[in-house]
Amino acid sequence: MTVTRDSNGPQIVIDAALDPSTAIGLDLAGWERLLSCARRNAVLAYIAKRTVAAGLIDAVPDAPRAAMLSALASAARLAQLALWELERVHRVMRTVGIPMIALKGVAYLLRGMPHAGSRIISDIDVMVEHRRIDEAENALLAAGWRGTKLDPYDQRYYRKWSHEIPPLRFPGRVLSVDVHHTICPPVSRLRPKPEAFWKNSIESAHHGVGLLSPADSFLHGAVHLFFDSDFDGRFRDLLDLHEMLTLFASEDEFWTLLVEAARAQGLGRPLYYALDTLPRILRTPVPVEVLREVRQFRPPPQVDLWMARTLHAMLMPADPEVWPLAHGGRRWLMYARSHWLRMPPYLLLPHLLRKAWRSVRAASPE
Amino acid sequence: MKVGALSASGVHAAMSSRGIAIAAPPIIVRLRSPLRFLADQIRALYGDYDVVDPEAFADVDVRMCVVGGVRRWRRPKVQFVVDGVAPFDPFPLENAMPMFEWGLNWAFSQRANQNLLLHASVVERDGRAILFPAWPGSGKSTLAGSLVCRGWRLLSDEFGIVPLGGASVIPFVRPIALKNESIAVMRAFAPDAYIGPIFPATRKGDVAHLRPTSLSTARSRESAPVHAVVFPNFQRDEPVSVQRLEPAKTFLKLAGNAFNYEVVGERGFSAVASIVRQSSSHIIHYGDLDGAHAALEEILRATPDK
Repeated sequence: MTVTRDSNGPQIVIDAALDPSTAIGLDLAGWERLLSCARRNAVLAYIAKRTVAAGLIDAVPDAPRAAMLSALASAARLAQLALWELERVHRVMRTVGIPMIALKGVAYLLRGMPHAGSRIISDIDVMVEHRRIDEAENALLAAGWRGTKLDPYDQRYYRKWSHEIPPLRFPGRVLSVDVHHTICPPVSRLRPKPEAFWKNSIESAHHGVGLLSPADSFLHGAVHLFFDSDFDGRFRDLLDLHEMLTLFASEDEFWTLLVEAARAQGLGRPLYYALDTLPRILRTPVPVEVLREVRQFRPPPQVDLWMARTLHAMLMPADPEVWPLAHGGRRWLMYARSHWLRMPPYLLLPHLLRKAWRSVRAASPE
Repeated sequence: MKVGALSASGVHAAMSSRGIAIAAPPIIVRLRSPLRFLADQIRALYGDYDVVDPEAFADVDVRMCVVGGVRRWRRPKVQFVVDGVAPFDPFPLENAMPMFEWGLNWAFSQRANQNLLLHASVVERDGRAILFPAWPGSGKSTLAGSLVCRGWRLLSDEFGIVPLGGASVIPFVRPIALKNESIAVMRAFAPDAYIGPIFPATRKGDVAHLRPTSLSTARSRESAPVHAVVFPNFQRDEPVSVQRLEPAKTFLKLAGNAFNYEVVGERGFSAVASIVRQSSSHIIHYGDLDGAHAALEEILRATPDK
């Protein structure tokens, strides 16, 4: 089959992400489609890393090989900066005696996940106990970090209704720091208990920095992806979940602990969406009995059907030829849904009105 | 076939359908846009460049889209879209050309880490390249442009591209972006040179593009060893003076002004070291272009090949 500029880029990306040898037979038009679509979805370095690991990089034609190695170099630099920033934050936390857990991208690095060094990282995420979060923020501010510019409404919004404080950045550095006290907004319909996360947390390779247990880490990723408001460019987050399942599946009792933790913490719904979507898009192997078990967490049938279609449309790699974004209606509904899940109506309405007013002001010509 | 060999409507027809693919070594850029005036400006500034098959591999695929929606009825804008992403806020429609140039530079800088990317203009004569690192108010583009109008070959106006493992610069020949007073200075200095329309009040002030000479585009695959690193300092009415700069200081200035020094790591260190070893470094103060040219020729004459 001849690959052209009009070939199915998203499918080429999925195939190459899962098995880099599928790309080796592409003609140059096909390679361009792959590179462009991979860039659109921030997974070029991921595919490059897998291609190198498979020993296939020298089989890639010159121009795409150069592009892949270039992307890999950029991602490796970000990974280096992320670990460095984590070390800086940890120094401050250690001084004031506040225990911390690394989350998301920087946690994948500490776990030594094979794909961790190929992710495009824009911030590092850490968690401290809620009762000590002001102390943690003040310690970081005293050590030189600064709040990123947010208006007073955003500041209040973060502090009152969010699971993290407004992002901090050390002047002159690339990566900002998000300090969390739990994984879901405290007013949302999901209210897992942070104490359980702490109790199950494990030591990382970086002495003194903890990690969520594998099950909690996966649940965090699932909540983050399936209950968020922005569904653009989230294919890479789906790949993170895929990588976690691939890595954790071999651990003793992982699946049992995963389903138990989801049930105990009230996170069954995001777990269901994750385990339902992953095999459909990334052919992730999930044991049949686990799939059967998490069906108890699914929404009513009509919602289930609509969500399955919508999640598939949103989480497939975006096609760079399509600009602006497709699926406007579904996207808007998912945005509305995330807010519905995040806040009770008496908070939601004023919040959305304010955001709408702000975007109207921003869109009006100067 | 050259871009300039196509008719104006031919360029526009290509750009508004499958795109026009232009070879600007080391890359091929494909451009799509419905904007007729942009097609005309591309044809004028890129006239000497080769057109290649738009269905073949392009390193960078750009669309310059007219932004619709709420703003459309007030003041249309243009958006730079690469790989389905719009990394910048839209520009006023008439500034599509400078936005394309900046956007293409940005996209290139994001995907060329097989090279050390210095922020510099590079020109060459008799096989000897001079690198003009950029610093604020240095006038690197004006100085490089003026030399190119006097028969020097342009390698690049924005990037000193050093493939890792070497100490030569590869060309990335593009229109030279002249800013503010430089535009009138260059018009007076080289009345025959083609300078495109002035785009007023962009984020960098007024901008106009100087078309690279045919000599430069014809030799746009030939690299050149760096013979001298010259830090320009323009001060109106200042007499020309040249000072030598110690290698260690040159090293720090060059490394500090690279776009991707930290990304390429140790190999970037080696590349800068090789350049500093094989070249001489100078700071030049000048108030007029002819005086600066004479001083640069003297530098080339006085520095033996290493």
